[in-house]
Formats: sequence, structure tokens, C-alpha cells
Amino acid sequence: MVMAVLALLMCAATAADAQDLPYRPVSLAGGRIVLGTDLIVSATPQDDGEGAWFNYTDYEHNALRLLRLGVTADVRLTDRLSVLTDVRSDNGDAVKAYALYVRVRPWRDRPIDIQAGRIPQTFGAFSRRDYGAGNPLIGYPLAYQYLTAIRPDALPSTSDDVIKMRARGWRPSYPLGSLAVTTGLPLVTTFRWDTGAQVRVGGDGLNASVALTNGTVSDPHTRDNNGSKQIAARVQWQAATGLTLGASAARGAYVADEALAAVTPPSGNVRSAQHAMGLDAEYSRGHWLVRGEAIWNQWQVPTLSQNLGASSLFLEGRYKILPGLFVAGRFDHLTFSRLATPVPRSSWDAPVTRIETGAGYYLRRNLLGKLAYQHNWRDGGQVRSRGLFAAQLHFWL
Amino acid sequence: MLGSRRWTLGLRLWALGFGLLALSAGTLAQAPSGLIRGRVEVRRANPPVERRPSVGDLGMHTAHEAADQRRSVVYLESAPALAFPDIEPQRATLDQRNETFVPHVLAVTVGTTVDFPNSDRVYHNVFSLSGTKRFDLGRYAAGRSRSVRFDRPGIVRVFCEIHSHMSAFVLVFNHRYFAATGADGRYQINRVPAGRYTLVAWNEGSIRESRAVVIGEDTAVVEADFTLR
Repeated sequence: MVMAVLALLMCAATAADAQDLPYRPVSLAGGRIVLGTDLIVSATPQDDGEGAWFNYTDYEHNALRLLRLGVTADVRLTDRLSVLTDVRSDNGDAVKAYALYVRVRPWRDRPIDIQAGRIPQTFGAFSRRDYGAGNPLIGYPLAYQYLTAIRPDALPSTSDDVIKMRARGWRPSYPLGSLAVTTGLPLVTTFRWDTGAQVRVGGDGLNASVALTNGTVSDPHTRDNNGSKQIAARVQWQAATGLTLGASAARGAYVADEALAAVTPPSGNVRSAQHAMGLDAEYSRGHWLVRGEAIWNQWQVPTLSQNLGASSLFLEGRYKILPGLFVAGRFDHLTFSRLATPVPRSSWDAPVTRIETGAGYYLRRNLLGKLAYQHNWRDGGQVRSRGLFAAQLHFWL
Repeated sequence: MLGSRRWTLGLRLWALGFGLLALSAGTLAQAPSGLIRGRVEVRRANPPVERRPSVGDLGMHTAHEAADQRRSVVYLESAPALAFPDIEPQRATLDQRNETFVPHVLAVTVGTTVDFPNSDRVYHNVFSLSGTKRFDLGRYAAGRSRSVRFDRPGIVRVFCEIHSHMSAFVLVFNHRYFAATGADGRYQINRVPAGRYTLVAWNEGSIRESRAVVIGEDTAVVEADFTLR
């Protein structure tokens, strides 16, 4: 179906040469209601068995094979109070509210904003720029998409249980907790947002945000699943025109009550937190745009004495070679801490390296076509190396 | 529809200039001339382009200035003979201020170099994918300026890559018989040689209206008002 829609959009794009496409967001009630839309069609010629190994998302969708229709809305009730939402349907699934929150500026002259509801990720930079043409490639950075062997609803009883699940993030299973077949967690998910409240202080130059939410950066929740909240914070500084630096941190309990109940005997003070720290930078000048992001993450596992660590680094760049035409590339590496097991001593999940390169062409100002090739290398699992081609069309208002 | 109209306009302007080259320059300089003036009232201007809903942001954006969408351009569709020799290389400015292009509509002659200074404290990235002129000036900071020479007639839609709500129009003519309206909607086209012309009033979007005007041998002023709906 995705391939068919992609072909249809290509035809529409060709026909669009003869006339302009609509480009402005829909404005109603004198600008009080503004609606934006996104239609994204991504396709890869490889079947899911090959392509999904490295590109599964937490909804068991393949990031390279995706049909997304999304509508964003900003309802400005007053000049200091708005309701914002983003509803999406992926691959024809039921429409879901990806974001739904209230944004308030309590004092007219003070740069303090409060957001409450299903809110954007405070942590990191990539989640919030997964809008419009914010992603110059088709794949997502590993830290924000690649599924590790960690599950919030099921726990290993020994280190060996973890090692057995190396490179099986698409379907890890453990003896304690849920026996359902489901996927593991990425370090930070960009496919769901958390529910809670967020405060930002400061303007465009320097600002700081703090949020209290139900879930964690890897496993956001509408309803709390463990009676514990996550606190996340971010500081962003525009050091010079075109140079933005950011630092983030988050801590929250990620293990669900369902899994904790299976830990016997239940201890009074169970270690079940996810800690994450991140640094990000973006620099742009002329026709260049360069970004980088590093994340250090640790999951505490109640049944293990060792924390499970993971760290990620990606660097990406985009260069516009002609009006409307750009090339882009991303180097991405995800690595895991070593775990003390009888023999041999090994990282608890298989390190992954990805290089993705591609090009994008603006058929219209708001109609972007992309072609990309990514190669993945993994130090474990059935599939150790895989190259994937992908194409994408993205139309937005 | 709109795109094909723009293309047709460009073709008409081009064909006109090309077709009149054979006449002598002296004819135009010595011909009696008049003035066309009037007012353009835009009854239903396009609403300003709103910023895309900023769902992914951690707070509110600073407010941006609304573009003056009522600014129109009035021009002769059938320009007088030998309009080309009248054209001198010109320079014009399309400023970027408070996340708005100022003016929203700029009318220039072929060969004009337009400067795009950045008067904001943030980056801008001016570009156009119009068939008449494709360009991308890249990102540049406050106080800097880059320029583009427009060497073909037509309508050029200009955007900022970073700020989706910023847009402007550059109308490029191969004659000098045009005028942009002021804030009050008034315009004036000077030194129009005697003759029979089609006068067009244009506003962004698909709003366009034309009428016939005659500059006689002893006509000093022709009044022509337009109401664009």
C-alpha cells in the first residue's frame, strides 16, 4: 500500500509542475485556529524481514516503510493561552493523539511558559525537530529509534537472560513479568510523547525547561504504570547566531508494576530507574547545517546488581548544492556496557553502527522527495550487516 | 490555476518586450506622454500566512509582524514600443524584519539587483523555487545582506527556509510602466506615451483585474481605480 501511495504522490508531484500546491496552514476564526498537516510516505524495496531489523519502531512499524497522515492544531483561546494537538494515523491505523496539551504564559512580560497534558519531550533535541523537514534523512537516529533488549513489563532473573536477548530488541522475552510478545525500548523514543507538566523559563537566547511526567524518556505513558514520576530538564543556549548548544537530563522509574510484582521477594526499595544525560549542538551557516547529539543512559534492573548502560553518538550534516537540492549524511553509533557473566564477558546488547546518506529535492516549497541509503553493522544477532535503500515523499502545510 | 496564470503573465511580458525591439528609440523619447494614477482597493485580501502549529516547541514563539497583504501592483500589460531602452540597471531592497519580508510585494525591472538584508537577530535563509528565478541565499546573520539579480520577467515567490510564515513576491517587468501601491492603495505610473493600453491591477493569490486605458496626444492624467475582490 505504501508503494502505491508513493507512486501516486510522485504522479501528483509531476502534475504539480503545472500549478501551485496549497502551502499555507489552514487558518480559521481570524487566525485563532491554525491547522497544519503532514503526509509522509516512506518506502523501501526490501521486505520487512530485511528492512525492519534495524528500523523497527516501538509500535512495531518500520521507520523506512511508513504512511503517516497527521494534523496539528493550535487553538489560541487568548494571546497567552493555547491548546495544541497533533493527531496521527500511521499505516492506516486508528487515529491517535500524539500530542494534546495546554500552553500558558501566565505573565505577559515574563518569558515563562507552562505546558500541561501530553507534551513534547524535554530531553534531547531530535524528538522536537521530527516535524516538517527537520529530519534531512529518512531513518531516525539510533538513540531515538533502535529497540534494545530492555522491557518495562518483563525482567530477567539473571545476567544470562539478558545476554540471550542480545540483538533481539524487536522481540525480547524474560521469565519475570509479562509473557506477552512485544518489542524492547529505545533509549529515547520519538514516536510517543509523555504526559505531565512542563515549565520553560527564558527566551530564544538562553532558556531552561523542567518537566514532571508519568513515563520515562524511553517509555512515555498517558497513565502512570508504576506510581512514580520522571523528572527531566533541559538547558538550551544560543551561543551565537546559528550555533545552539543544549544539555539534558532525565530520571524516572521505567519498570511497570506488573513486572515489579513478579520480583520475589519484593523489596521495599526497588532499583528501577532510567537515568539519561545528553548533550546536543547545532551549527549552520550559508548552505551548511551540522548537528550532533550524545546520550548516556542507564537502566537499573531490580533483579541485577549491575546497571545496564548504553551510550549513543550521532553526527549529521546537510549541504544545499543547488536551490531545492541538498545532500545529507549521518554517522550513528550505539554501544552498550559490559555485563559480568560467567564466560565470556560481553556487552549486554549488541553495539550498532549506522551510516546513512541521501539527497532531497524540493518539488515544491512544501513537497520534499528524499532518497537515502543506510548501512547498518551490528556486533551480534542473526543479521550482522545490512544495507537498505529508501525513498520518501513528504507534503506539509 | 494560479501557477498557469503566473506563467502566462511571464510569457506575455517576455513576448511583448521581444516583439517591440524593431522600433527606434527616438520615437519613444519624443512622443507625448501622460500619467496614470488611481487607487486599488482590495476587498478580500488573503489572510496573513500563519506560523505552522508549533506543537514540538517547549514554549511560545515571539510574535512576528504581519505582512501587508493589501499591497498591489498596477502595470501596463501591453507596454509601449521600445520599453526596453528605457531600462537602466537598478537596485532594490527586500528587507527581513521581525520575521517578515518588507515590502511584501516588490516590483522591479529586468536586470535589477535586489538586496536581501537581514535586519533581525536570528538567521534567515531566503530562497525561491520559481521558474522565473531559482535561488537560495543560504543562512546569514543579522547585519549581513545578500543579493540576487533578476534577469527574466515574471513573478518570483520568495520564502525563508527557517520561518515558514515568511513569504514575499518580486514582480519582474521588462518595461518600466508599473507601480506598487502605497499603504493607502494609491499608485501612479509616470511618462506613459500616448496610446491604447491594457492596465492590470494585481494582488497576491489569484486576484487580478484589467481595463483598457487611452493616453491621448493631449491627455495629461488618466484616473483608473480598481476594486479587487
